Amino acid sequence: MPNNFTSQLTDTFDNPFDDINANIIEPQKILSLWCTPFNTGVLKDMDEKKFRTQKLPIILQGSRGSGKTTILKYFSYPVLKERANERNGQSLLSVIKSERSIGFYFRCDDSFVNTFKSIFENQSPDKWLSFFEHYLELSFCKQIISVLMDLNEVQNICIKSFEYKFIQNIIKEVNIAPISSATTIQDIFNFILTELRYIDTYKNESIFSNVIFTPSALLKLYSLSDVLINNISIFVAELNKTIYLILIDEFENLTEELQQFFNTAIKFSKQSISLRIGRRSEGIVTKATINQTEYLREKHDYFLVEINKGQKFEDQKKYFTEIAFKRLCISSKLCHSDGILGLLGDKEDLDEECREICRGRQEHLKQILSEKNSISSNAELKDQIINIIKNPNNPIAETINALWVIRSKDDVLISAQNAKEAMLAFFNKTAHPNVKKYINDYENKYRYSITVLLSSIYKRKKLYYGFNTIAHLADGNPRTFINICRTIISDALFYEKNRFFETKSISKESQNRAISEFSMSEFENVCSIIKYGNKIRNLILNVGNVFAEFHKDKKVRYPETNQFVFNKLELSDDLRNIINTSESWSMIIKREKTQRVSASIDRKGDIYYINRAFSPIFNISYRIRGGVNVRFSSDEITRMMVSLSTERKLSQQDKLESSTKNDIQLSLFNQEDRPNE
Amino acid sequence: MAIDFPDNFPNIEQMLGILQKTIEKSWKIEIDIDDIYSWLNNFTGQFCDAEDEKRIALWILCNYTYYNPDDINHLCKILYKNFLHDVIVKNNLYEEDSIEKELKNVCFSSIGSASESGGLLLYHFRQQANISIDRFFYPTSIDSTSENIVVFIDDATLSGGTALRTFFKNVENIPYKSIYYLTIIASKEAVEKLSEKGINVIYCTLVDERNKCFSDASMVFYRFPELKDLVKNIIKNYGEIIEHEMPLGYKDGEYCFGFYYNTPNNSLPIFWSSNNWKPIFARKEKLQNAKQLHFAADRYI
Repeated sequence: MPNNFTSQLTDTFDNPFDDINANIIEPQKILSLWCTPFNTGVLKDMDEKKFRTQKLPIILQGSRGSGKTTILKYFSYPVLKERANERNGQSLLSVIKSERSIGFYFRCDDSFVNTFKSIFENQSPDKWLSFFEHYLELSFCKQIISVLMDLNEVQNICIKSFEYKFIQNIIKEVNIAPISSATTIQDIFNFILTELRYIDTYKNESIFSNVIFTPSALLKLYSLSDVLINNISIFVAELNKTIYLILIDEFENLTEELQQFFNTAIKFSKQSISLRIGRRSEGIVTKATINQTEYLREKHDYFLVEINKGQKFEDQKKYFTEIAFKRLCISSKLCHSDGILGLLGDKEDLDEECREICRGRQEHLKQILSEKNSISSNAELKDQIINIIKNPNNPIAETINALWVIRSKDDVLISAQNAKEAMLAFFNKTAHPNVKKYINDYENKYRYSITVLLSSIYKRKKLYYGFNTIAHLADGNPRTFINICRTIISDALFYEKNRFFETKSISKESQNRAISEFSMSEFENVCSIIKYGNKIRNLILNVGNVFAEFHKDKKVRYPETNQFVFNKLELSDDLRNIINTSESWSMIIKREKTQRVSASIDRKGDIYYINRAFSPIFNISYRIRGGVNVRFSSDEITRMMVSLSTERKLSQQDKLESSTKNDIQLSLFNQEDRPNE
Repeated sequence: MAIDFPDNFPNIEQMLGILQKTIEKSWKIEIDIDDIYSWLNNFTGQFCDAEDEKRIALWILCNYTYYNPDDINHLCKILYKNFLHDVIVKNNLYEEDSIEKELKNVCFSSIGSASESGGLLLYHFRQQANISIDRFFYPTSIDSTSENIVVFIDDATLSGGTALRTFFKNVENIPYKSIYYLTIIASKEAVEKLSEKGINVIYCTLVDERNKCFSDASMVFYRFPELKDLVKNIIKNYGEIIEHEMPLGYKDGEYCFGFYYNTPNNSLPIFWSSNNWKPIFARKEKLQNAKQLHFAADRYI
């Protein structure tokens, strides 16, 4: 009975995975949770120093939740100040000097940008960009002067000692009337604050009045900031090599004109000012500048850094382990020597799961054997075969035996005996001509598929649990990983609190419940907020159901089929937009490299899969396998977007395969073609 | 007897999932599955199938509103803002100075005795409104003149009785400019009763028939009206056993809400009663006099 006043005052447990949004995390926490992605699988060939000090602008590209904001914020001035605080004995000035850069973070909040645009466009359609430029320059200058004031406050510099000459230089170099009478840095700062306040007030009041926007001066980008920076480098020698970074986040939210404006800033950058831009994907942003003949060129005008590109699964696991370690260390109750592995376990025990599903029953063997005509109608023969191949302690093995029987062209009893002998040879580590094939089937090829199939036969859900599974579901995306961990701990706190704190581990049932819940709610949440949400929802549900059908195939002909192909060029503009939106929100994901479109087709193309995090919705595999990819025509894609009508692709695939092969051999797992060069 | 639940009535597992989220995101209280099962085990199948009783109990629990300290703080802030707005409008105060001057004449007090929950609420209110401590008074010692605005703060007024008693007992014979009653929850009936006496009532939530668990307009059963009478019988029967005087709550309140510091007796006793019953949101009864106090003094010697 928890409801009393004192229970509210007790030391409550905070879920260490609660903070997931870098936009609202405190600078101190960004620093304490920081796991460097540089020079790891996450960001190859890019180190922190280069990212900080590179004069050529850098575009940081990554999917939703890949960590762009965290990276940009890590280089922002508030986090730099926290780094200085942590380095006892090192002054703020010396930290800035040693890092050789200061970053100022700007988030392209789409509601802000749209409000700004609509208000100022109304004021003067051809000038609203100038107003935005003015606003950005003021904000940038405000932050630059704030750094000077901070340094003065902590007595790393003495503004008074150079202020007069500094101001004289500024007045001489810039032609901004309100500044001409300034005598102190505070005067310039006040001018900036007044102008910013005027814009904000104007933004609010213009809704109710017809007041005309009349700033006391209209600044161009870098018109004041560049002069300020040059003079800082003259009067504060420690900062003479410092690069000032404008960190622009959520670039894709900007209107096309603003993207062009920033592209121009990228193309014509200043000596001591550079840009770092965070954005989702190439397809949804423009490369044009305000000059209609100039376009951005990678490596010439900017470096493109892609998060997670070509990241190996083992590297993803390593990175996630580190992320979890940092968070678990914050919690005294969960500081675990084995980290996230100790909390969640590593890999699923599929043998145990299958034993729990089957509980000694033979229904699965009966159903699989019935797939072969010569056995289905002969109950006695079926029983005879089952007696030979059964292994109640190992349902995966006995299911493989059943699959061998239905696939063999030999006499079924002989095939059963052969399967049994291969199985025994495998378990007893003795010689048998088919033991190698048995090992491959048991340990690699069919383990997962059979577990899913058995769950389906006994009307159970496949369990999703363990760090390895979560790493697969997160698919390299830190936010998804942190979110899943948060949901799991939250579930454990409710369903098994005592066990959780006593053992510092979470049962597979709790993990599975939380993962299923996360999967469904993430899917529904994203569909509810994005453009074309309903169509994307339909498409994914339909595609997922097609995969689910493949996973329920009692002949297990196409194990773990979870990728699909279609020709994007055949789609109408509207459909392509919908596909682009679903890619941008990582609802569907395109494989990095083009590959053979399917096992039996010698043609390369783009391969897609639905976000791995949604696999539990459909009870399908999260693993990346080769083999068969389901092909959809543009008509089918259209139909699937409109309504929930699952295409019958398994039977089509069957016809396709039987026309090209007599025996189905899927041995293309893990084979990836080289990328087009 | 088993209950014939409608097809779309959630099962126990689904409702536990809903409660898990509600507890984590909204109630923010340390209740876990064991606490819920401990409460559910009160429903032993005396009036129908035990599992069905548990299922309906869970449904009612899913419809419970719990006000945690953050909620109370937030609502106190809203109350104060609404009070300010009312004072400014009614007194035509347009200048900052005149507003400040008027606010210096406000006397705040709680409802009930100093040790009751009203005092705790007053603390939240003072913190949120950022008002000087010298503007707060015990109900029995309100220092008022004809220039003063007297303000009583309470968490809930459902019948209006306690509020009126406080008014007659403490304020009726003292001078004041106007009197306000600020409450988080008010019923329509209470607002009317108090307004008739010239008391300005400001509230955050107005409860009516829809909030009564088994009324014809009940929001709890609007999707499953066919279950309402059956469930009412079961809950009332358990209520008779644990709180014979008020099986559906004080004055048949039938409400489903409570605060982090206490649960009003107008809510269903199945939530709060401790009479041979394990409550999920216990109620701390008021001991009105020394005779009611069974103080085990020897435990402390």
